[in-house]
Amino acid sequence: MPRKRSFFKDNDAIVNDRARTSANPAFNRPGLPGLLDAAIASQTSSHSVNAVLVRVREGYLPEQVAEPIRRWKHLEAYDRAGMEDILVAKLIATSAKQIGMFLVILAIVSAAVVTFIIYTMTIGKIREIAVLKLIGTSNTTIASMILQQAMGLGLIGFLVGKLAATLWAPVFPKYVLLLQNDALRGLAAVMLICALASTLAIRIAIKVDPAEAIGGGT
Amino acid sequence: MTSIIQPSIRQAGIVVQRLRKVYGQGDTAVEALKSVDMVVCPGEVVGLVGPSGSGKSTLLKCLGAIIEPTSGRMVLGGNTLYDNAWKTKDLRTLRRDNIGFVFQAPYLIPFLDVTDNVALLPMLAGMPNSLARARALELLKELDVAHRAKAEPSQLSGGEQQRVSIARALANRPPVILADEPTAPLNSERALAVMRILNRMAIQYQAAVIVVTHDEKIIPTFKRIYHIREGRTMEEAGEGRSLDQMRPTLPS
Repeated sequence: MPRKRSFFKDNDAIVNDRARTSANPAFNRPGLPGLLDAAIASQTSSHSVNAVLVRVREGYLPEQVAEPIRRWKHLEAYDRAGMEDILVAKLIATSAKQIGMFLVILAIVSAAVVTFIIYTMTIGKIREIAVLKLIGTSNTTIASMILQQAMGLGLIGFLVGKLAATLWAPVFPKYVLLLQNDALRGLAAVMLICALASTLAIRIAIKVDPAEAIGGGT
Repeated sequence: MTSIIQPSIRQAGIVVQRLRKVYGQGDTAVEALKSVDMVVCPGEVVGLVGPSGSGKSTLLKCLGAIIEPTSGRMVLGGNTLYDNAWKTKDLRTLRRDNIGFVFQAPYLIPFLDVTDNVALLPMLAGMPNSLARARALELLKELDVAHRAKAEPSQLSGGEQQRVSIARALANRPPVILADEPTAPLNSERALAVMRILNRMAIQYQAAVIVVTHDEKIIPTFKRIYHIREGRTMEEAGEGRSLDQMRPTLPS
């Protein structure tokens, strides 16, 4: 029934294991020159295998092959759907969670940085804001100016980030798929972060007394 | 107090009667203005001088509808704005439409070019952008800074910035202009040039202008001066020296 059996003895885990063995000082003793070769030979000649890939002939269902194998102790059989589940739900999902965690940390740090920048820029313009209020500018107009500034900062940051990610992606070992929709969602998230970050500066600006534009004292 | 010039309230640019301002209450109350009377005609530039703590800034803030007086009466441009209470709740619009401000430093908006700095006020008042910019350019031309219309404020000299701030103060054609130490950071030549511009604009736009100043260089140029001391004003005739005879040039 099984058409083909493939034994991948030298998979990544075995190659890595062999490299670790080679680097292990316990197998590289000066007084025992053949120890390392013997250890590697014992690994290579081992009859234990990690997994067997089975391709089922046409007309047979994978489940028909898997079911009797599962009855054996210490053996587990997966069909294509099961393997995809292991790959997507376990391996990729773990990577996605790790990237997600980095994204959350980066988002918090970015929000703090944007808040600080906008806050500093606003504090530096208190006199100008007081003048704007004095000459009749509404709080809404001033708030929208600060919001536009934050959004502009976010847009520049997003464009620089997207360009850098696109250009540098090939240099990195793992390929991260960034779809158009992901980029748009990222842009929306950046705009939201910037809008939230500008609220502190807006609060400060709204509290500015127009009298600050006129010289102090009585 | 009898004013040297006595226009009717309707004709006057600024009329202030028995204006009083008390900060705080009870034992901690401070009477910054005790009884201020003042009349400024349209087209006239008067000086407001006095030592520190005499109440100059308080009077300017009351006239500018920034703080509320305790009692008295204020008429700006023929409209009673305060008579023991504000006549309107919308002080922001009142300031925008009736009062032009010139400050010690120009305080131009750094991210707007010169034209937009001047056009901002008419735009805020609802004027279409193209008309507001046309008006701004016209004012900049009158103040000899039209050639810097597209420049950023940081690219202008101190004198040019001050002229742009005067243009901004005039942008909504207000009946009243309040100038707070407008010549303090300028040298004699530039200070006199700013005063010349204020006088010319006051006449051209029939605005009543009050200049708060300590600047000895410009005090001789006023025809009338209000001295404020311990919360009361005293009017006296100034030297009224001709600005054209004093210095002929505009600030660079």
